[in-house]
Amino acid sequence: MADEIKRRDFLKLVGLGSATAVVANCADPVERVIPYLVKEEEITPGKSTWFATVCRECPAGCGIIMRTREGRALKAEGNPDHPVNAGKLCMRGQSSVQNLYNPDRLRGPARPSNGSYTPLAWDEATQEFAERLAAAKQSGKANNVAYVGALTPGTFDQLVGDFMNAVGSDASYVYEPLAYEPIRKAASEVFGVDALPKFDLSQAETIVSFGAQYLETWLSPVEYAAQFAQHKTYENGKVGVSYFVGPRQSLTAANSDKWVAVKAGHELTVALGVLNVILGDNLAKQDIGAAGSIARDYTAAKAAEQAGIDEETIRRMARRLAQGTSIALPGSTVANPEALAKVVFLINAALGNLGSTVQFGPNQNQGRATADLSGLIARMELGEIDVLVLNDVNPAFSLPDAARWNEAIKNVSYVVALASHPTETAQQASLVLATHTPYEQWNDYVPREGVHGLLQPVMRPLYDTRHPGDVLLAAARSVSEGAGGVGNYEDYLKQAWQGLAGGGNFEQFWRESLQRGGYFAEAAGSTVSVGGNVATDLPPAPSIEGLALVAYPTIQWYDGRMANTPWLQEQPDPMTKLSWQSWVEVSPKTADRLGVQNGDVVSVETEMGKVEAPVYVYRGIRDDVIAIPIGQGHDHSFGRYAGEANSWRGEIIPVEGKRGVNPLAILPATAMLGAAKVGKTGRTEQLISSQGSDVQDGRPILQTIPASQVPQFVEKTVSHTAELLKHDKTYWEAGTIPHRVAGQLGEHPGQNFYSEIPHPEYRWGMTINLQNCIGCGACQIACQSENNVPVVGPELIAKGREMSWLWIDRYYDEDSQDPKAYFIPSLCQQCTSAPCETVCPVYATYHNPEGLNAQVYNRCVGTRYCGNNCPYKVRRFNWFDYAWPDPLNLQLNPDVAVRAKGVMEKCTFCVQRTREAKDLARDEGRMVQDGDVTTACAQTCPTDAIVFGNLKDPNSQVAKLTGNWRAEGGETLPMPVENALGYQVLVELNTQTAVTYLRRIVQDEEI
Amino acid sequence: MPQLFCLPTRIVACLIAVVAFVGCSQFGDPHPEQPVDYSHKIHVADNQIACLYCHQTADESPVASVPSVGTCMNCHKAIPGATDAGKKDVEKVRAYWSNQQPIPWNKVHDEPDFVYFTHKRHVRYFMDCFMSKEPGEWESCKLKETAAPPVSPEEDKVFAAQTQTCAQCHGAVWEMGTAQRVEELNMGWCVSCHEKRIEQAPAEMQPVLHGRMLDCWTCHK
Repeated sequence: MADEIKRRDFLKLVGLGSATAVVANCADPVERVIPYLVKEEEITPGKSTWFATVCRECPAGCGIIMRTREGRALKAEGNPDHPVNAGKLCMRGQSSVQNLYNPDRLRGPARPSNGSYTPLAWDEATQEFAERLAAAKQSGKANNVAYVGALTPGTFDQLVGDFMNAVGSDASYVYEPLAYEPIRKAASEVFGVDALPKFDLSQAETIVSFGAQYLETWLSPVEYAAQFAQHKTYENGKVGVSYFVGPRQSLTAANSDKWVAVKAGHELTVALGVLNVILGDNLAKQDIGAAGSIARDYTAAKAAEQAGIDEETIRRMARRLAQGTSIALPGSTVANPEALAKVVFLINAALGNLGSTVQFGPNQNQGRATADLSGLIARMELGEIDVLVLNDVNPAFSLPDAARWNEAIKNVSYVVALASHPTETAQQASLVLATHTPYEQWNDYVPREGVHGLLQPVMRPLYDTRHPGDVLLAAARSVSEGAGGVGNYEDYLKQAWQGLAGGGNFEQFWRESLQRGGYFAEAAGSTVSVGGNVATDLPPAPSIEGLALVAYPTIQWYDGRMANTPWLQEQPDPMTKLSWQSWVEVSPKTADRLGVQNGDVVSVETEMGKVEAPVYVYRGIRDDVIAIPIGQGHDHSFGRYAGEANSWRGEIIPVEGKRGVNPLAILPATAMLGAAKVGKTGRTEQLISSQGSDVQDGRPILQTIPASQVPQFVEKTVSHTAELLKHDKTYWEAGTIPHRVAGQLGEHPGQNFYSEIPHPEYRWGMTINLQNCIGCGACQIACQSENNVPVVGPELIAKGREMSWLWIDRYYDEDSQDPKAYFIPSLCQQCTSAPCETVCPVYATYHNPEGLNAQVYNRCVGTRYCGNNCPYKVRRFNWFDYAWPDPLNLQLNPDVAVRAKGVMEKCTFCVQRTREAKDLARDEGRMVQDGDVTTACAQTCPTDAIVFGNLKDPNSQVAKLTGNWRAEGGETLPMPVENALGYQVLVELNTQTAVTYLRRIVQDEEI
Repeated sequence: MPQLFCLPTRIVACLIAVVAFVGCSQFGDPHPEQPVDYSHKIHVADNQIACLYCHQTADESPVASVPSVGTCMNCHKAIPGATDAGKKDVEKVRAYWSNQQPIPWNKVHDEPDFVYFTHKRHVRYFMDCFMSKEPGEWESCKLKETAAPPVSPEEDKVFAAQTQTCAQCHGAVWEMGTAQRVEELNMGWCVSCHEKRIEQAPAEMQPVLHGRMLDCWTCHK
C-alpha cells in the first residue's frame, strides 16, 4: 500500500498545481489599448453614433438609423422620420447587419470557378471590363451590351441610363423575382396611368386580399403591418374585417378574419365573382362603364363552383366591401396576375376607393421591375449579347429552370457580375467585381414619388470592394469620354440632388437630408377614372387535375437572397415554425390519403422536374394543394449557412450538398404554381421545429374575446376595479400588478410565501397587445441583434436548445371549424414572485430593485435549476460556446456580455438600454419617462403591439394599459378598452408577472 | 506510511499559494512597461495640464479614452522635451506620428468584459461635489484618502477638483511616471465605496441608493 497516493495527498498535489498555475497567470500578456491617430470629430469612444440610411434588403425602401460604436455598425433600427416605415423594421431589416458582416462576402474582384473565387487586382479587372466593352461597342452590332440590375429607383437608375448611352445599347432590365409589373400594366390598361398606386389599409373598414401577402412580402410589409393594426383597432364597438383569398394560409391569411381557401390559381375567379355581385346587386358607388362586363359571366354561383368555395362567401365579401370604406388588393405571386389586378382595380373603382384607399400620384416605383427576362434570354441564346452586366441580381437561382437562363448565359461571351456576396449567378460570370454593401454606399432610393431616401456609408468598407456606381462610371468613361460628368458616384449623387434642393444653400440642404435620412415631400394625389377600352377577354384559369404545387415567398427568406444570413436561417417560419430546411405542406386529409406523416421525405414531381423534401402536415392548406416555400435550395457557392451544414459544439460546419430545395426550379416561368405528383421515398428527415404543440390543450395562455362581448367584459372589469380601489386606493404606488382571472380583477396581497419586494424607483413592465400582434417575428431578430443571442444550428434547435430570449408561439383555435391561428410573443415575464430566483443555489439569479429577474452570468454555475423551475420556459442554457465567425463578431453589442458555455441566460428587458436611459435622465436630474427608453422588441414592432415602461409612473402608457392607474378622490379614471382586456399568463401561479397581455378581439359576426 | 510531502515542502507550497493570491490580482500587471516612457508627473504636476485635456471623454462617456497621437502632437510638434531621456521619448512619439501609427499602450486598468463601469457617472458625481463645496470641505466628498492636488484649489479649482476626482480610484497619478494601478479594482473594492456612499446619505434616501448602487446589475452586464 506504500505506493498509493492517499486522497489527502492527492488534494495537496492539486493545490500545489493550481497555486503554480495562478502564479503563472501573473505573467499573462496585458491587453492593449490602441488610441486613434487623430480622433474623429463625431465619434466619442464608448458612446453610440447613429447614421440614417435606407434598408435595401427588399425593394420596400424603409428608412434605417444605424447604431454604430467606434466606427462599426451594431444595430439597425427604423428611422422614425421616414414616411414608409415610421421607425419600424421587419426581421429582414433587423438582420441586415449580418449581410454587412457576412463571413462569406466577396472581398475583392475575382474570377469565379467551381464554386470558389480566384482573387484579381482591381486594375486588371477594370481594364479587362473596359476592353470588352470597347470591343463590343466597336463590333457594330446593335444593343449587344445588356444590363440586368436590381430595382434601384433614384440616382442610380440615371447612372445606368448614362452607362447604357455610353456603351450605345438600350438592353437594360430591372429584375426582381417578386415583381409588380403586372399590377402596373393593369393600371395602365384600366386607368390609362402607367403606375403602381399607393395603397392605404389604415382607413379601410374592410380589406379583401386576393393573394397579396401584405404582412409578409407584398410591396411594403412594414408599412402595411402598421396600417393593418390601425384597421384592426377596436372603435365604437367595431373592429375592421379582413379577408384573404388564397389556396394556402399565409401569415396574412392567418391574421385575416377569414381565410377564403380557393383552388390554386383561382384568386381571379373569386375577384370576378365579387365584381359580378357588386355590379349585379347595385352595390357599386361609382359607374365603371362597359369595363364591368368583364365579370358578366361570373355569377357568384359559377365563380364559387370554379374556385371550390362557398357561394355565400363571395356575396358576403362583396356586401362587406360595399358597406363602408374598403380596399381590395391584388396579389402578384398568383396565376394571371395582370388580369387579377385589372379586376381588383375595377372593384376598387366601383366601390369609390380611388383617391382614398387606392391613390395614384404617390406612385410606387416597385412597378418598374420585371420578373420576366424571356426577351433577353431569347437574345442571349441567339448569341446577340456580347457583354452582359449583372448588378445585384441572382436569376440563376430565382428563375425557373424552364426559363432557360442557365443555357442562354453560356452563349454570352463575357459576363460581368457586380456583387457584394457570392451567388449562383456570380459563379456563371467571367469576372466578379466585388461591390460595397448598401451600408458602405452613398446612394439614394425612391420607393415612391416624393420619398427620396438617402443612403450614406455607416462605416468604412470592410474589404477591397468598390461602389457599384463607381464601377459603372469608370466603365462608361472607358468607352465614352466624359460620360456621367466628372468625379465619383458621390459627386454624381450630389449633382442629382441639386435639383431637389431648389436653389437654396445646397450644403445645408444636403446635411439636413443626411440627418433626416432623405428628402420627403409626398407627391400629391391625382384623379383617375376607368378608361373606355378595357379589354374584357380573360386568360384561362389554370386547370389542374389532382394536386397543385404552390411555391410561396416567406417573410424570413423573401425570394431566397437571405439564405446565407444565419439569424434568418434559424428564424422559425411564422406559420409552420420550421427553420433551416425546406418542407412540403400537406393538409391532414391529403397526408392520410397519401399515407405520409410529418418528416416523411416525399418526391414532388412536375412536368419540369422533381424535388424531394420532408412533409409538414399543415392544417392551413387546401386538400388539393401542396406548398413549398421559396428561399432554400442553395449550395455552398452561396455561403456557409445557405448550403448543407452540421452544427458541432456550437459551430456550424458546412458539409457537401444543398440545403433544402428550390420549388421555382420545377415550376413554369413567371408562375408560382403547377400540377404535381407526390411520391413516397421511404426516407425520413427530422423537422427542425421550435414549437411542440399546435394547440393550447385547454390552457389559457393565449386568450381571445369575441368582439360582441367586449362591452360587457369592460363593464365588469371596471366595476371590479372600482371595488378593489375602494379597499386600496394606493395599490399602484407599490408598483404591484393587479391580477386578472377570467376578466375579474383581484389581488392577492399577503398571500405570498415570501416577503414583499420593494421597488423604490422603477418597476419595469410590458404590455403586449395580442390584437395587434401579427406574429411577424421582427421582435425576435431585434432581440437577437441587441443582446448577442447566438445562432445554434439545426441539430440543437431540433433538440429544443434554441437560445432566443423572445419568440412567437402560434396556436390554433381548438374550437374553430376553420383553421384559425393566433400569435403570442413569449419572453421572460419578469415575475415579482419568481420561481427561478428561489431555487438558485449560488444567488446568480435574484430580484432586482427595478423588478427584473436579473441573471449574473459570471456567478452562474449552470445547475439549470432556474430553467427547470420556470413555468414559462424562458430561460436558455449555453450548452456550448457558440461561434460568431469573423467578421460576424464585429456586430456584437459591447454593452452586453457574451455568455460562455455552462451559463444560463434570459431576457433582461434590455437592461443596457434602461441603464443608458437612467444615465441620461440623471444628467437632467429627473427620472426616466416614457419616450426615453424602450426595449429592442418594442422599438421595432411594426404594429406597436409591445409597450414598455415604468409601472410606477402613473403617467406611463404601460401603467395605464396594465391597469395601474391612479384613483383620484376614490374615483377611477375612465378605463381604456385595451386596458380592461389585460390578463397575465398562468395567473394562478401567483407569479405576479410584469408582462400583461391584452386579449385578442375575435370577429364573431358572420363574415 | 511515508509522507508524500515533507514539512518544508508543505511550507513552501503554502507560501507559493499565499504569494499567488496576495501578489497577483486577476487584473494583470499593475505597472506594465509602456512603448513610450510617458511621465504623468511632468505633464500634470510640472506643466499643469488638466486630466480631461488628454482623457477627453471621462466626463461624458463610460470610457475615459486614451489620447490620440494627434493630441500629443498638438504640443510636441513644438516641444522637444527637457531632458535627454525626455527628448528620446518625444522622438518616439514623433516617429509614431510620421509613420501614421497609433501608440500601442498597454492596459493598466482592465475590468473584465462582463463589468459595466462608467467614468461619466463617477467623474460627474465627484466633480459636482467638489465644485459645489469650498476646498476646506472637500474631505466630505472623498470616499478615499488622496494626496494633496498638484495645484492649490484656490489657484485653479477645476483642475484641482479633477485631480482629486481621478485620484479616488487611480491614486496620485500626478506623482507617477507611466500609469500605475494602485487600487485592486475588484468587486469588493467597488462595493466598499458604494456602501460608504450610502452610509453618508440621509436615512430616507438610503433604500433608494441601495437599489441604485448595490444592485448586481448596476455593474454586471
